[in-house]
Amino acid sequence: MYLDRKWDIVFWITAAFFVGAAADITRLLFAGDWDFWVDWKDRQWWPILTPFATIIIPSAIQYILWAVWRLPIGASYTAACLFLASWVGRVYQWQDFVNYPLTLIWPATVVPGAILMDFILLRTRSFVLTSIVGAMVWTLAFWVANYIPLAAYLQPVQFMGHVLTVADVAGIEYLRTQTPEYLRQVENGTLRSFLDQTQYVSLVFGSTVAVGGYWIGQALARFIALWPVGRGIKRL
Amino acid sequence: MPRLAFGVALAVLLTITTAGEVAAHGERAQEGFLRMETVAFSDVSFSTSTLGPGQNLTISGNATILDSWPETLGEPKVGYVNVEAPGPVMLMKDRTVNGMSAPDAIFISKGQTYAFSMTLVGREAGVWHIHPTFAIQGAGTLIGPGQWITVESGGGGTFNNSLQLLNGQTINLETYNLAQLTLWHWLGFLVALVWILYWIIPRPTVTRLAVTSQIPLNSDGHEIGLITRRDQRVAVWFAIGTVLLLGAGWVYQQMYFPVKIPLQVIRLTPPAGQTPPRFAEVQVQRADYDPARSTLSMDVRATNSGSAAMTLASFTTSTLTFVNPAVAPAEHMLVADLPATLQPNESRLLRLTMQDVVWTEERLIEVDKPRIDIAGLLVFKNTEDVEDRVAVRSSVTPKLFP
Amino acid sequence: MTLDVRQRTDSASIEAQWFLAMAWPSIALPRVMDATHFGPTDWFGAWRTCVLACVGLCALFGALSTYMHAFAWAAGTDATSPQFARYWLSLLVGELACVGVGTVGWWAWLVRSGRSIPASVTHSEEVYRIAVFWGLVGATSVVLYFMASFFVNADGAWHQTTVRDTAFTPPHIVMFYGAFPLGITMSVGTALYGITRLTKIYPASSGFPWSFFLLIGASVTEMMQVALNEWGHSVTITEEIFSAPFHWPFVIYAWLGVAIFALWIETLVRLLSIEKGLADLGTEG
Repeated sequence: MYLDRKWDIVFWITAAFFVGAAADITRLLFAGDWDFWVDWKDRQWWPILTPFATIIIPSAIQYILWAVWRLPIGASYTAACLFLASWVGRVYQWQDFVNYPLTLIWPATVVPGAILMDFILLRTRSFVLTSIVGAMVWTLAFWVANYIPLAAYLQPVQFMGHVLTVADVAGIEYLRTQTPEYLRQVENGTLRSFLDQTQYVSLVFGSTVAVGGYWIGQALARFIALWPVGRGIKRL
Repeated sequence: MPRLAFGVALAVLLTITTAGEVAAHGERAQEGFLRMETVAFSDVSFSTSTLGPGQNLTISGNATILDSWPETLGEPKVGYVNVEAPGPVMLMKDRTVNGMSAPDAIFISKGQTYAFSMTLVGREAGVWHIHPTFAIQGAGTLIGPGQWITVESGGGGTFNNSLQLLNGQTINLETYNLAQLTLWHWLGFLVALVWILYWIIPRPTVTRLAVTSQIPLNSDGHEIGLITRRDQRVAVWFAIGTVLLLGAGWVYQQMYFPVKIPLQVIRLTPPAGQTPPRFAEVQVQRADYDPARSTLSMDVRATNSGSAAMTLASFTTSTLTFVNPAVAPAEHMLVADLPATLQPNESRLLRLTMQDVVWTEERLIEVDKPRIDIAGLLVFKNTEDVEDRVAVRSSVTPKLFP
Repeated sequence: MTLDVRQRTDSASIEAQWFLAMAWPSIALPRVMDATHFGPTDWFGAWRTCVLACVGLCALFGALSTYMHAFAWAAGTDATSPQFARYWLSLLVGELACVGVGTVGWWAWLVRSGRSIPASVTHSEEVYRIAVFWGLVGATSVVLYFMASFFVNADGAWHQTTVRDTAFTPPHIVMFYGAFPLGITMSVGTALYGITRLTKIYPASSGFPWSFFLLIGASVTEMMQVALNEWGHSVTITEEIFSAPFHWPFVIYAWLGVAIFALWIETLVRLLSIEKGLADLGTEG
């Protein structure tokens, strides 16, 4: 018999590179600016864009690992690979290469939401239910898990004659020549209609957008990962 | 370590090349019209060229949004005064525009001059080429004249960027909250790792396909023991544990950081600068450029509508200033064929010649581009030491045949 | 996790029992030793390809990254300077030449040597080849990581820090003209190996496998997107917002790489088929 545990070892280790990369590039190019900088982690855009960008690949891997092996660890595995790719990238390419302090450039984590989303799939065994309940939990867990480290940087400071947050000061002090401040797409005191509950509105909307992201991931898994198995193109 | 290697490599490179050859930071790749017709920098000064970590450097000057602003770029409405540097080798500590504190972007308009002053402190030891910049939405970052600045070594130890919070606590922005953040992140990662390993170590992975291919997608195979009741119980504990972890973290941040405000956005309109005196009128009648000799010639009719005699002092375009040697010596010279001093009410046609290899080096006037223009500020100074900066723009006739 | 599991299934056929055996590790799996010193699934046997390729690629990209860290700031901020030509344009030319020559050579060898491979092989040999194939897929995965994450971070750090110079910034030279071409090298090479060596999985009669088509499509379209990216930056915005719409095709094309799972699954199905055949025969090897 040839199918020993080495096949498992090779799969889990080599797949981690692609899974981490797919999750990272999706996050970086859909919501990267909000993830790079602490002074972009606001209440209005960050909780909408980042959960959407980061749920796509975990959803795809969740489907693949469940469909092929009934393993409820797809989202967690993706989140763990993304976590490692994030830290390697930030520490080596942002801190070491350009010398930005981690206080300015720390990445968000999606790990807790991923564990919960996998749990929901295991219990419901339904991708429809996981997309709705799981995406909501994903967004809420994203906010809580990342607001915890962010809180310290939202403390008020007097700087340049104005009251700013520690995060704002970090964004001003650490020179970013090609990132002028007017690019910063953050809450800017626009219309409010929910008694100042900006963050809750963002979380609810972010959840619905994450549901869409979940199904994009499902489409990737079903049509690009699994549908091609054993199929060929007769005429190119 | 790579940054230290950079410092060493730079020192090596500087010994074998002229300093000017690595001084540019991408401005030479910008098209000439973008550099000349948008923002003109004048009177740029650096308070020092050597400083230690934590010591001040003040960069001040004027940035004029020219009336020759290219229509292809859209109206200039929002800008940001900044610094070009190879990364955060210095820290921005203060910034004023026309005397107003400007932490964030500012609202701007064409034709206005913005007197800026930025105070930076040294952060990373090395020799850095620093420029003031003016970024404008839709046009990008326009770069002013640069200078080599040496940040001396602090004699070992890590840099401390002190910041006092409103609650009185003083923090080091280089490392603040990093220990807690790192612990929090990696704790979560550890939980996920244990969760994953629970599923993939005790049981094989790849061979499960033989079983799962026989059961429906929505079945977890508990009847045949593919996923057991114990697995479900363990999963519940992981879920509860994750929720408890999040809850504990939430309580922690509420307790330790009770006073928080959202990210602030302070974008303002600077007050109007002093109304500049107007005593010079200029009309460019012709401009020629000889690429082979790197020479720009301009015929300008200058009229003195003031009450005191005025002299043509300089021509500023992009990062360059060409100075009338009769006024002051300088690296780049502007030569007039006739005396460049005009009495009140006098009008004279001057032929200005600027022969300098920098036209070619900086790629400001290139004959293979869709726009062959020249734009900038002609600066006249009168006997009362008052300056009048007149924006000029003209198409350029290149000498294409010998 | 013992034989009790099988006994629970009252009407379990021998086939079902074999399937169950696949899910649990308690059934002893005697390892087959080939006539050669190392078996088809030994670390020093077929898995050598995986280890050497993955480690080698990591070392290569690590070296390129170290070079970038050392010389990007010192000689890479001004594309018009002689230092830039000496340190960076030379690397660009070297990369394109080495990758080009190496790629064509490897592909040509795969095709030519594939023609002389016997049509029918033993199970042991087939398993050996699938393990080598998994090594190549793993190496492709490693390249995709450096393409889509490792150097993307460096590129972001560079663009958000300095004024955009030309298309040939130091991170671009390493990423777009080093890692991206290698992505094409590995995806096409892996496909050539699969088509020429794994003829039971990828018979000619089935046409060109969709899995390879999509994976190769991912790497080729990523390379093409570089051109659109540069054009877009010359026409519209100049600041480097990383989540700018012009960057989104990079993500869409990277998604096609999810087809890499199809490669693992297709070969796994064949492996299971071999295992089942051996179990039915009650023989080893």
